[in-house]
Amino acid sequence: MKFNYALLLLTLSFGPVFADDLPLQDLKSPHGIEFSFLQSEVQSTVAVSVAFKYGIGSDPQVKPVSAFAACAMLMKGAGGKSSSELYESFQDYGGSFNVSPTEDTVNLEISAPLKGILNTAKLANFVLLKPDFPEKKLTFYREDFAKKIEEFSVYPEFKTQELFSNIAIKKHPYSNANMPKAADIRNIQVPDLKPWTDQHFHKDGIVVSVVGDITQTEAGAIVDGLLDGIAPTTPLLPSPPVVLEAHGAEPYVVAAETGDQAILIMGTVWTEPMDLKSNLAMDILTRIFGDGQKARVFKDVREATGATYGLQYSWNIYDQGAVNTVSGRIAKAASEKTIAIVKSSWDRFRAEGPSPEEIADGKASLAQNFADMVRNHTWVANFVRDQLTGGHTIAEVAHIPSLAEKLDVTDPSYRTQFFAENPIIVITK
Amino acid sequence: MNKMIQIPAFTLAALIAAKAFLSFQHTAHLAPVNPKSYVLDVAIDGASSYQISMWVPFGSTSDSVPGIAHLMEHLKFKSEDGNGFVAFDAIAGSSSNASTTYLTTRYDLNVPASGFAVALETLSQMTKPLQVTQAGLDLEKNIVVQELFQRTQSNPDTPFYQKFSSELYKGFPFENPPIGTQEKIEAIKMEDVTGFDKSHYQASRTFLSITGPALSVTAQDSIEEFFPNSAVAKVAIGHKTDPILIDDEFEGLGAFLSGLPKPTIETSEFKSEAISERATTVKMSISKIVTAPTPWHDIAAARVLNDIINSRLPEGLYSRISDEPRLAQNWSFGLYKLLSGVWQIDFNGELEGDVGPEQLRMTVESYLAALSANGISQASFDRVKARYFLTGEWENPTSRAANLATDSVEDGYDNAISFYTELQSVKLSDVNQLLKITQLPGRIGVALLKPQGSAQ
Repeated sequence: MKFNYALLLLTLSFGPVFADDLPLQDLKSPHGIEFSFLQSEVQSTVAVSVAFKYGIGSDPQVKPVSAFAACAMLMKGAGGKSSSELYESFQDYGGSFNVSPTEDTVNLEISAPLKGILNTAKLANFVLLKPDFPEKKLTFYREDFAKKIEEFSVYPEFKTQELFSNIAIKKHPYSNANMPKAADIRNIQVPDLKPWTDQHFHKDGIVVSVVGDITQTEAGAIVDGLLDGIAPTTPLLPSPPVVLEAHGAEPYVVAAETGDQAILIMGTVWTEPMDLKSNLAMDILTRIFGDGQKARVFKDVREATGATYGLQYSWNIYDQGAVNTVSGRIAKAASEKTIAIVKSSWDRFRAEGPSPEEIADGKASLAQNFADMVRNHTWVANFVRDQLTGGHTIAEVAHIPSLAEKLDVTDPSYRTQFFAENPIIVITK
Repeated sequence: MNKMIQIPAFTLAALIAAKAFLSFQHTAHLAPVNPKSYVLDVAIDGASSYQISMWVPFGSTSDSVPGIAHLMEHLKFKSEDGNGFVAFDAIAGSSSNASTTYLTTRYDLNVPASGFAVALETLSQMTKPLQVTQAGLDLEKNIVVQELFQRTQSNPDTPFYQKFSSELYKGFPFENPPIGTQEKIEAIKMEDVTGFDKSHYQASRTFLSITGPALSVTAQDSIEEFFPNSAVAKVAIGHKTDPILIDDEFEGLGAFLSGLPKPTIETSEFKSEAISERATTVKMSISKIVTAPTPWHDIAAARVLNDIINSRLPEGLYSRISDEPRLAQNWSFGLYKLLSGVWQIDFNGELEGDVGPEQLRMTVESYLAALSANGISQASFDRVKARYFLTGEWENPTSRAANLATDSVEDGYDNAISFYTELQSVKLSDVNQLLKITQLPGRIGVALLKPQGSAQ
């Protein structure tokens, strides 16, 4: 097989194309709600993403998963309209409506073509303000969700994640986001739900992002249509701080039936605040270490040993901490050896850092994601919303693509933070 | 939460994998040798990178040894003379993937515009003789076995559904999963691999779809250099453009992907039952396979029909089984083309409360019988059809381009046209005619997965 290396060299000399910055505008609606606006002609769909401050981490201690039930029950009936009527009305507008809790926020997303977006916004507003929470629907939902949790809890992946979470953040309410308990779901009653929505749908610290081929005036009207009548303040408080405790260096072992494979999670948790540069550095470095077929860990483990089909990386930043993990199924017969190889790959990356070629690839991969993202109004609205929720300004968020391109990710402090010397290792087999 | 890029939840993967094959939807074709390659060039305004997909017209149905087409897909990624994807991977920002189905093998490359020529050259190398050592083959077999374990062992219910699927598709090309079995994968020899490579990977048997910025003259020269004498069809997609029609450039594509021999479908019924360690509800699947003509137009009509049945409109199934009395939850209905001339009708759901499987089945069947006899109303048809042209899916250029390429290959048109073009011309009578397929006799499979201690 002959390959044209001259062509490859020519290609490399051009280098990748980096994504453009986002021309975000900082606007205020006629009724006084600040929002970010991106005028974009890529799609005719208009997307609005909202983050209400305070999420699952702020749920009442006696009702720790109220957030799931309250959000899911919104579409079960509102203002005397049945679930079916609401559902079909959104469909007729070409609209979508989604409300979901995260650790620190409750996220609301709507989208529709221009001719349906105002009606979609007003219907969403109606649902947010006038939920009916019918008793029978809650009974069905509660049992359905509780049973799903019970089914999940049998999976070895769930057990692995559960132990990792317990070691990493102890009993912090964040753990309810990924692993709600069936008993807590069954404990939710109708009287719990209206106070929850009254407190969680509020304008205190609200973040709103609008993207579409519309004017500023149209964007303002949509924002007001969506959020008119929402409470100006809330008595809620942030979730408590995450308290890290020492953990062992040896793998924690969960006994479970896993067939011919074992399940591995290796990761680290930290509580230091993350600024925008750290945020981007983590994205780039974890791509280099764990994302796809060119990643370090892919080459060191799958391609060198054949002991896995692949490992995944994942990271999250919360108000009270951050987590970075690599995980996946590995050959059970070679699990100890494979864990040692993954750890060795982790340690070497921590100590030596990425090569210039890896950095170029990691940055180009991120730029590619930016370029793909801006072709979808909902994706870019969510991205802007999530960055603003992280405390970054609209001006900072607008320049994220160019900041990423110029960022020096060789600073060893990034790796020291994201790839701890002593990661938590959990193996289920 | 402050993520840059959303990462799917680790713990959800297993559940999603569990029932994925039940919603499996595929269309049919075998690939006779054809002297042409085909290139579908889809230009999208403002795109900065290329998504290039190459199909070769064979998958596990062509296996000389079970699992070899899929193993070959793995091996082609890593020809051991230092070329192939190693060179492609050196392009910053590039990414690649591949998949093997029953009927095709597909390689996907994503590159910045500057890497276009290297990507094409990389794909053109795939039809050259494979370079692999015995050690390389053994390593890759190990990886494929790990993939098999991951696919089949992540969910303890998977073996049950696989067995059900094999029985349902007995005599069809879908009887066995494309990945093969551990025993068969481990038994694959070097001569099996080289023999399969020689007999199947040929330069003249490829279909490429190129989605991205409009091609420069240099880029067009690259196509001619690496895929000479190809039939090229050009399409431009913008979010406000009209539906698209590919012209006569692709005349002959149907021969590239001709139909499989039509399986015989007897009128029969079987039932599979098992106890699940993890299930908390009784999960029921009813699948029926029938023979009926399959004009392409009907695939669009099936979309409308399925959306009406799955809707909460008065004619939808929702009001019969999800309101009072509540019979099932988490259910779905689908009618789709399985092979040319063969349709499958699926219902999947979980029994609610004390409802028995016979009661649920009778409700679904009587609903379909009544709907088939009475027909869908013009009002519901118009209401649902209008929605397709409001939504983002209709005007998302990337998704439309990807669908167009897949439709072109998977359904093998002579004159490939957009799904949405067809959707526009679907009439109520098409949908009501299609609905009658549900009443034809055919092969019926009923699967029941019960929790431990279930009385049903």
